[in-house]
Amino acid sequence: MRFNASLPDDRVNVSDRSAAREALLLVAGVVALAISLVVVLAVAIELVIPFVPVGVERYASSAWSVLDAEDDPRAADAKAIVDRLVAHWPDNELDYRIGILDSDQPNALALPGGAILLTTALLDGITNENELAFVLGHELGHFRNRDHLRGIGRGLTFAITLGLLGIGDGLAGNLSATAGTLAQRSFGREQEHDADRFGLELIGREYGHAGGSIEVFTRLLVEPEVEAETNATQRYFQSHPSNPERIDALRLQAREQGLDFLDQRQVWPHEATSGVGT
Amino acid sequence: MDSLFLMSALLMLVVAFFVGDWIERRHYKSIRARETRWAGLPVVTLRTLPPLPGWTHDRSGLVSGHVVISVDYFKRFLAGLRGIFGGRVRSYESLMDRARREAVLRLKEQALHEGYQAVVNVRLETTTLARSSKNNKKTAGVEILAFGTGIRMAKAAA
Repeated sequence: MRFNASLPDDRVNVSDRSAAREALLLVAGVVALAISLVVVLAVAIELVIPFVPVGVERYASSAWSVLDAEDDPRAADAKAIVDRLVAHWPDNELDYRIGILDSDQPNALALPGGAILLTTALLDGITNENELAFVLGHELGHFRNRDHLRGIGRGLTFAITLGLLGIGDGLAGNLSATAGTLAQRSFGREQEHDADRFGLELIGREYGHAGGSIEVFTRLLVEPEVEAETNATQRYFQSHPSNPERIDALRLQAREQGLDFLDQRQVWPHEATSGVGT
Repeated sequence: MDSLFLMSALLMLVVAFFVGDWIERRHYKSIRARETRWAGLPVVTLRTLPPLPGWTHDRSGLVSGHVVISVDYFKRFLAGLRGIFGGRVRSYESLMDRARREAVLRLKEQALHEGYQAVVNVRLETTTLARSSKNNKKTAGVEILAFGTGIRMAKAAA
């Protein structure tokens, strides 16, 4: 028996393939997986939502009882506008409440269960009733489209699915979560457009014209720096469509429905009795 | 906030990739040099040496060599992605290869230090060192132990 001194073969147990290339390939795979997961879940949720009764959402309204005691008289005026708009929406099942948030950012929020929050900056910036009516109509649009269920459903089911697949942890988990969140944002933008559509419909039925809607975007919610530099890539990261896009969509819809952007503005707060029919 | 996190993670990955790659290359160079130098010392898995005419057993003893190696951030990231899709975890293969060869080399080093001429009944054992964080256990590294019986023969009295 002889001992044969030899060196081990380097290539047998170790692979030659570049690690960087493998990383790129796998990352692309994970991102694709996350995006397809989001799409599949979104479709599934769309199918389920019509069957969820509104009573489920009404249950959430008890969380906003803090809004009931409102000293600001503008809350009551805004509520009056909401009631008039809702009169044109026969299928409505929710009761609405207005809350006022102290903030220097003009904003309006729709909270699950029928609460609409308006910031003081928004109410201060309003010059006529039509503008506020469009904003409220937009928020009513979110309730009509069941957007809260959609948002909660998507976020929750995506996170749960990732967890069940065991991908939740570590950098790979964060990567899929981020890719999924960005994909969900494009759905969110579509919801904003749909809410705009419903808002315009409601004010069209109540006032007979579309005045005030565009001014919300040209004067009230102006974001000069954002719009100047936004290119297609940056727009993908935004949760709302850009103002120019929303204005264009409103103009198109007004043309389709034969509404004018007339100069008949209602005084705010509304003092005369409502008399403008459709 | 999302993008800030992703940017720093990406930076860490890139740094870990290049640094880890350099460390690995350096280690392999050292491994090959020592393997060449000590190629003459037999290290075998036979339980005993075959009878050698003209030689008798002088002394023997336990020799061992062990090494602890940790994964870099980039390799761990790759392994995590592999955990989703399955397949060969190539990033860990080179790590284990280096660890194994290093352990055997250290075994040889100790054998030479003790004056042995061969090492028989060599076995390798692997231990994973785990570090428990709040949710799960992360791998802190891998320990490979190579142990065997070092043997010194002496010329038989005529």
